[in-house]
Amino acid sequence: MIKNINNNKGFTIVETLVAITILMISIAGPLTIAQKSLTAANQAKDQVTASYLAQDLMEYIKNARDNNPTFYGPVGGGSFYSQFCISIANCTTAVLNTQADGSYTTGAGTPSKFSRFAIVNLNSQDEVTVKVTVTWQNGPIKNSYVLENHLFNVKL
Amino acid sequence: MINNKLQTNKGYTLLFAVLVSTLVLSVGLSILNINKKEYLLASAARESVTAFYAADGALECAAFHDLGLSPFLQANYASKVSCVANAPYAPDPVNVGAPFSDNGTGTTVARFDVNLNDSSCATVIVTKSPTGTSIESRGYNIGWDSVARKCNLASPKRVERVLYYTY
Repeated sequence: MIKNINNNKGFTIVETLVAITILMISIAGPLTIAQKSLTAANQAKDQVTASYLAQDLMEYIKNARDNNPTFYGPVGGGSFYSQFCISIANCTTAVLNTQADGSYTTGAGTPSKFSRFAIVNLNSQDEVTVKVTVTWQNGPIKNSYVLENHLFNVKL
Repeated sequence: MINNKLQTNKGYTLLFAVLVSTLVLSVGLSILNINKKEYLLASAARESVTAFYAADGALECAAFHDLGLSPFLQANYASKVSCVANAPYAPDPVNVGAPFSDNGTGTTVARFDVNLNDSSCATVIVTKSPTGTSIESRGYNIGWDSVARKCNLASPKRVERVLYYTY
């Protein structure tokens, strides 16, 4: 009788060890999944925000094109397009600020992690390439989103 | 009797561990599933912006040429349309229907594919008829085939945005 009980105790320890191992694996797995998911979800959110911020600047430049007859101007001349960056070297990145309602602004507000700049290249007298780059940083990882469009000297 | 009772309890911890594991794993997998969908939606939104501007640029290119020298009525229009300075463009001269003529009959359909930046692609269809001109620009986020010089429509990750312009 006593022998039997002793036997059962031994089994329980082995059993418990196995159970702990299984539990550890099964908890560590989903925890990793959850952590990775959170990171990916944040990244997805940032990507969407970045694409809309890029679209915003692109539309701003298109609007400037529509309202400015000298937008295309002479190549290298002091026309409107030159107020944007012509090459990466002389680009100043505008850090976007967050307003109280959560929207982004180039005006006053709390600095956000997003910044953006546009490079406007005059391809010919009638065509410009607009490249909008939105950059942001998540911890040590630098991300960027580039949106490119070609504008032609046409009134639609 | 006691012996028997103890025997039936054997494996309970293990069973319990497996049960808890299954529950926790299923929660983890459902989070992963939600996240996968979130990521797909986010990339669709991002790619759709790229596709939109591919369509927009190609539409402007077609309208610019049409309102200028109007090459689309000519058979060799492909050699007269240049959308990116010093960069390849893809003429796909498909003329459908009877040629549109100035005396107010017929319809001319001109079509070309264009690659405005790295991988995006746009198919432009210009239709000129007595009722006016319509430009249909189909922009794709990816799919530029640099060998065939046209949009490759087979890619499963393709996102399409279409712009119509009539005047």
